[in-house]
Amino acid sequence: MNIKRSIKLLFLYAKAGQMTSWEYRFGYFFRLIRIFMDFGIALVFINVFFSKTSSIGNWNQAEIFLVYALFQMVNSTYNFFCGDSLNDLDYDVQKGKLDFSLLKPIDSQFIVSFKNTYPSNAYRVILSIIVMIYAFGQLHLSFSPSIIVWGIISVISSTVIYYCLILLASLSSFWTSRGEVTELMNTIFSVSKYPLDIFRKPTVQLLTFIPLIFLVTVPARVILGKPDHLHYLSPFLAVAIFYISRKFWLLALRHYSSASS
Amino acid sequence: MHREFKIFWIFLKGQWQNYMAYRLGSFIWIINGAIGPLLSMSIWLIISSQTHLPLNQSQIVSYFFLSLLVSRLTQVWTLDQVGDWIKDGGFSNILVKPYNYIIENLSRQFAEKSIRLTALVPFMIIIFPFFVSRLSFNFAPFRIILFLLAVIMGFILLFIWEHTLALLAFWTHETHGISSVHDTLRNLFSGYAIPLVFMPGFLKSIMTIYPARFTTSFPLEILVAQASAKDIVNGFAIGLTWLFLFIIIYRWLFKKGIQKYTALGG
Repeated sequence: MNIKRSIKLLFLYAKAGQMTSWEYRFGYFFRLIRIFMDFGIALVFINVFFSKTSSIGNWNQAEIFLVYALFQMVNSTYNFFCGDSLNDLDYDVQKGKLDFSLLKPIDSQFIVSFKNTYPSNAYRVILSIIVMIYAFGQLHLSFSPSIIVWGIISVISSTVIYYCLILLASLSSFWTSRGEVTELMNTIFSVSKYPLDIFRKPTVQLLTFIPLIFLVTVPARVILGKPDHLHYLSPFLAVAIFYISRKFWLLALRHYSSASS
Repeated sequence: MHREFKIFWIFLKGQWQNYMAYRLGSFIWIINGAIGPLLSMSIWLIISSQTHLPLNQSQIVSYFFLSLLVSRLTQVWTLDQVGDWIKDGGFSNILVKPYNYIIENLSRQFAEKSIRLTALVPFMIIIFPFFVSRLSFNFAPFRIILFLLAVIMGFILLFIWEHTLALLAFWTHETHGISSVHDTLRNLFSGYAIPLVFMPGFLKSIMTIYPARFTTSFPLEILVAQASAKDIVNGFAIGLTWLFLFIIIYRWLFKKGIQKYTALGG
């Protein structure tokens, strides 16, 4: 696939997404309020938890702020590029509208994944960076080059894993014509706004296997310098899941039969 | 009244058939809604093992276990639906019908709820063994009765509340932004993640009077958190005040909105 053309196309999708979101001014205004409220309320939740205790598991308040900021960053980066494109896949499959994506002279997975971008998620990324800086200020961390490199690698891997898992979930709509599994996946992901190693051991093992723990907890542990070997796995996992999801995408397409008009 | 009931029943039967087509969806919907409360429960249990909280461990487990049921009983799906009708002109269909569309919406809610609750029961039975050692279910009969009344009040309150907000679409042209703010505030103040007794001072006073409290927290305060007689009476008084307030605002907005409404599309 031509990389330059794809980037240009992605840019056009982002522009169209921005224009769509301005269509209803009240709606846009309320969505902006919603972004600030999401952050505000999440921080209120954490504050309420810590009004009763000084640590949850072995995480203190600033560390949990950092976990939340990382969660928002990965989640909003995904939503910036993909928006609800994959959430709408069931509708396209059901109505036979997927034909329009398949006929275009560009990779169909690319179109299906990126056609509805949500550029206003850039605000979320900015807010999560602000929260992160605040958390760093509270924590007095020291960054060695290896922490920085592995921090970046594990965050990028986490974004890739996030995308692939949502893609895999949305592919279920080729067989069921319904989108609930994708919705369920989004809800399951929202669990990772808390560090997942606070739970009992069998739960942690399950979350490592799913592999939910790689989304936020592993990168957060790397950045905070908590000893862990899982992060060495995350780039390989990202590549493996990307390969598997691509294979499943092709398999699902073979299963697709267009609806009649 | 007899005629209204007949209309309600006809719609209910139609909607049942409609929703029966998607049974798998109901089950996933239940799991989807259970993840948040179970996560909050785990975190409160972890905190509770480290420090003293106003609710003990078995009360925390019972609270969140029952919150799965209560929040599903009071949930409604009307804000975006009615908002979209106003936006795309479908509201014209409502205006020409010879009955109040609220009856149709109510039957829709009942149909969807009864179908989906059939999935909740097996789900709660499946997860029950994980909680049974810590559940405490010996409630006084008067608390159970008041609990049921509070659930009914919570449902009607939210039903009218969302209809009222939906009418704002006459002026704003769409309600998805409003509904997302509404949902966020409801998440914070419904007791879905933080029970009222765990709220620190200032937030506690907001939550006490915010209408979202009556959709999850208030029934559970009566049943699980052993609310005092005074708190129960106050709660019902606040809830009913909101209910009447929303009815008045709804009627007023409806009158003003209809004058402004122009249908789009053909």
